[in-house]
Amino acid sequence: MLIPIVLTAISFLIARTLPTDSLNKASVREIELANNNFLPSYLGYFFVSLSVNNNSTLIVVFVIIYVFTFLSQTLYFNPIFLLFGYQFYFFKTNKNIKIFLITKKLLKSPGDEDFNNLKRINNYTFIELN
Amino acid sequence: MPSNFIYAKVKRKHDLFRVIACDDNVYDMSVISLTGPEYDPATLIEEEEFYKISDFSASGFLLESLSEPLNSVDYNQISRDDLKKLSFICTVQDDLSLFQVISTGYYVSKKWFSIDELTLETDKPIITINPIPDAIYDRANDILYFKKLTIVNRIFKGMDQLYREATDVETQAFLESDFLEVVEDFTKEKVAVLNRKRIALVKETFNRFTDDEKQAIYEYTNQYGQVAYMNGKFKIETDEDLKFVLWGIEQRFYTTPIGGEKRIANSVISITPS
Repeated sequence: MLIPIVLTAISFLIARTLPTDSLNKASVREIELANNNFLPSYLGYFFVSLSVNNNSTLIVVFVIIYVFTFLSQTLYFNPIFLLFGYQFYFFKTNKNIKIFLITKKLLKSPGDEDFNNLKRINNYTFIELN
Repeated sequence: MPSNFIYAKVKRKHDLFRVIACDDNVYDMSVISLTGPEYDPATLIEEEEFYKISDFSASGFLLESLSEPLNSVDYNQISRDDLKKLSFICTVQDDLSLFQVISTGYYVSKKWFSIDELTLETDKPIITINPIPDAIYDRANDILYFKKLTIVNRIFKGMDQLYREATDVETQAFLESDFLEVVEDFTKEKVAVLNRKRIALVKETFNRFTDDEKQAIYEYTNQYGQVAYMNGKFKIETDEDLKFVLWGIEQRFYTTPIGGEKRIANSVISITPS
């Protein structure tokens, strides 16, 4: 149980070296909390893993899920981030581009705060470290 | 906290890409003086000056992305392959967007070594940023500054319409004007680029003149005696003759009020309030 938490903590350190980005508060059109979006998909994995009863099935199912999750994910969603106090948000900018933002800030309405030190995880996912 | 970003435009791709974020200023604004006359093909600028176009967003040439402050999250990170196909880079520093056109010559594929680290680099092309950008867009005041129209046209496509060359047809039509007597071996092919640009410019102004005004122009040009004038026709033998007639139409000749020296203005700025 501890291993993923430690790995996540290390990932925050690695994330410091990611390229930096900024987002002006005036350019945020919409904010949507996405904290619970992970639940359905993770519950799916959870039940699949419960019904696995031998090692070979586990390996095959694990590899398949791993490969497809890895290839299909554009949003890097790690529920353990929640334990570290991070929140997940969908942002829509004035260019009508939807990005996924991970931050410790509690946000409700657009236009409250500037984001000047975002780290780019990929072209859609950004994290604000503190 | 990085405040400056470099974006790039890749050939045949519509949107800009994010290249790098940097804490330090990319351009030293103390060496860039944002001064200069409003753009007019008849005005030449000093080396350190820029032409400017006020209310640039109204001209329709402004890139869509620049009408609002750029947010780097809106732009994808540029890929290595795309970096080899840049058409220009745009640095956002404070409220200014500073452009540098990239041509294939910019990729230094020569061997180089850094002075700090004495290892020879062979397959690492670099892009250097000139201290003076090719164009600057000041979004707060909606002014575009630039040095050369042909260069800025590669950033804001279609801007060369502001100052184009006369086509073959237009040049031929101009040479056939009834106030010109063109010798036979001076054909439209011999009209050089600069004169073609002047023809494109004066064509409209000249057509707006009344007959009396035209007559006044002929006499005025003749007064300065650069081109032979006989029976209401200027004799055009060389490109040079054509240039003087075109200057005449643009009313570039003048006489100093004191001393009476005859002069040609090779650059003019209108000081009549419009």
